[in-house]
Amino acid sequence: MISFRNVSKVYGKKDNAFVALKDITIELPEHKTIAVVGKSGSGKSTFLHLLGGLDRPSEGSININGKELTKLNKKAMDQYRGQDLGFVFQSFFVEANQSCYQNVALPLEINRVPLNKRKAIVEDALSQVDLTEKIRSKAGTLSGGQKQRLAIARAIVTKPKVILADEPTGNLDSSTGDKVINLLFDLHKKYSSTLVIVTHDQDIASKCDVRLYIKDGQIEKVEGLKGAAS
Amino acid sequence: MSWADIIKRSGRSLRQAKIRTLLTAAALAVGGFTLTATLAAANGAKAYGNKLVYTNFDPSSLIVAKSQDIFTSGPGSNKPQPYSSSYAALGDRGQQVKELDQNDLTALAKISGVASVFEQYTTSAQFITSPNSGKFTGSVEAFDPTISHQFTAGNLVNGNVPSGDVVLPQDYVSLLNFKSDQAAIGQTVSVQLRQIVGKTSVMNFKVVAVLAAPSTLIGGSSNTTLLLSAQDAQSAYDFVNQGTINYNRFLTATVRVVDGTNQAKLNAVQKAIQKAGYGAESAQNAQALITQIVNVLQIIILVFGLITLVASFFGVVNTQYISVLERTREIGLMKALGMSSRSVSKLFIVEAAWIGAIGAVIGSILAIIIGTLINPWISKKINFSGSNLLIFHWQQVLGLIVFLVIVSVVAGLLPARKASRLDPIEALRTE
Repeated sequence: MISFRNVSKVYGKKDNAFVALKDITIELPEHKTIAVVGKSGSGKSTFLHLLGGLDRPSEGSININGKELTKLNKKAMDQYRGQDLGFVFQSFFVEANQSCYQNVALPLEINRVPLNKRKAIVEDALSQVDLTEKIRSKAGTLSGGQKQRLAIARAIVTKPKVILADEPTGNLDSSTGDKVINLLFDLHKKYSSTLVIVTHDQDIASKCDVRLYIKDGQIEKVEGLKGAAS
Repeated sequence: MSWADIIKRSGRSLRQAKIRTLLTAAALAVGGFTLTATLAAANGAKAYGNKLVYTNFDPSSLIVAKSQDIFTSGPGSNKPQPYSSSYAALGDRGQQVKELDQNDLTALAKISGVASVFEQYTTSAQFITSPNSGKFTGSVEAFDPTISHQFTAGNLVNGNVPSGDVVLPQDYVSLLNFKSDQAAIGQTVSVQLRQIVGKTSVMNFKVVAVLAAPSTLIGGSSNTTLLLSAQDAQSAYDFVNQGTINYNRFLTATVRVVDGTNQAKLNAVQKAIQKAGYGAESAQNAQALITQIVNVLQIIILVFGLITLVASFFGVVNTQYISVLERTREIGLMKALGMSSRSVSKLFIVEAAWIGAIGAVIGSILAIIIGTLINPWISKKINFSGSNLLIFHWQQVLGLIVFLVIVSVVAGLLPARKASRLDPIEALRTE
């Protein structure tokens, strides 16, 4: 269960204060696909950053599968991001000069997975995104779609409970974007993870179990959630 | 992230910026080169100093003078002094020279721990010649069996010069028309002595050994000093000096110490002699003086080496700062994926350490290679014959490499701190 209780996020102070999220309270189910939809500046990225432990709320509490994020110290927060989450970004953020193997192995290095176990895990992750043959290729030589698939392999390599995808098709053409979304959904089913996709694309949102619409830092409406006001 | 992964990852990052890494390391290499060469030169100078001392002094003996200031400020004063009848000897310019007399030698012999006391009979000859040669200047003195001597021909039975024999410095072999060092053995050498009143006497000696021409001489006179038995040296001294003001007065005497190779015993006797009012110096004191001079020179050169290191230090800071700026998104990604700020910091510190290690190793190896190649030439040029000017000790080189790595790490601390403090959200937004 992903639970936000009275969560607000304010950037800056006094006259320069900007309210990015205002008193958000919501409970989202595990093992589902969740779309966070909103226009640019609506607060959807802030929502993702709070969920991803990249930022802390100004007020309120966030609980992920029983883990109270606002009470985690820095080390525990690092561990939460490293072990419980997988990130997929709009700009891929693959290391162009490193091989595909090295890119996917990065989370394993961070999580101190023993060296002798890494190869099999990385190979498995790359095979899931159909990049086995590119294992020794430099990430910089891949196409946009391949780079995003590589980023997905990096996100799933630790078998996280939650995958956070921030506009994962934003830099891809529609055909490649569709393939990437399908891949994300397939892997979500395979690993039974919770998939949170931040998007402004209604087609992608419509494929998700739950759709959370955010406007001006507040929840505008929720779709697909039992008992929630739509 | 484990140390092994941090080391590998930082190594990969540096390989991706090869030119920048090498240029930064090159600056450190200059410092490493200078410091390695400086340390090696100091080692060479100290070794030369030690050789100089131990080929001129017996380490188990003490050189004793009437007062300690003879060793520090030399005999006599350069300014007019009140006359004292106790200072009978006069220098060239009328200085009152404090010299030892027979009473002093007797008193010294009675000090506990003193095995024997030898006065140094050095006598200037009028000339030195052989039956088939011209006449040459020189002096004679008693052979000291406690000092190590190197012979190019002949040898000494029982380690000393018998009466009637002479150890001939190598320079005289050709001057006295002997065909070779070996051919000189058994030949006759004549020493003509002259008293101040003009009376002369000729002493004939048989060459028993030829003394190698050493470069390690204190005073530089031994190349012209023929070494005789103690008895012959005293006879020559007596003939020339008897009846003069300097007769039986000596600037210094050699005191041999019982079990003098034991430094504690040598020191105890030295203190006892000094307490009795005399001056006393050991080989170690002479060595300390040379070492002190070398150390001062070494510090001066090291300061220049350290100045180049200061420039390299800022080079590393600059390089690492640029690296942090260029890799802001990478840092943001690593932090987003759960890498701790401490690990990010370690990553950049290890990168700085790599740069330091590369620079230090290049600098040190270059210094060793170039130093080894030019050592014979430079040693010959500055008349270090038989010794090397540059002596490399691997412990020092290793210590220097570690030092340069530490310098580099310190230089990398600030950029590493900046990297560790980057906000992952801001870092990921960077284009």
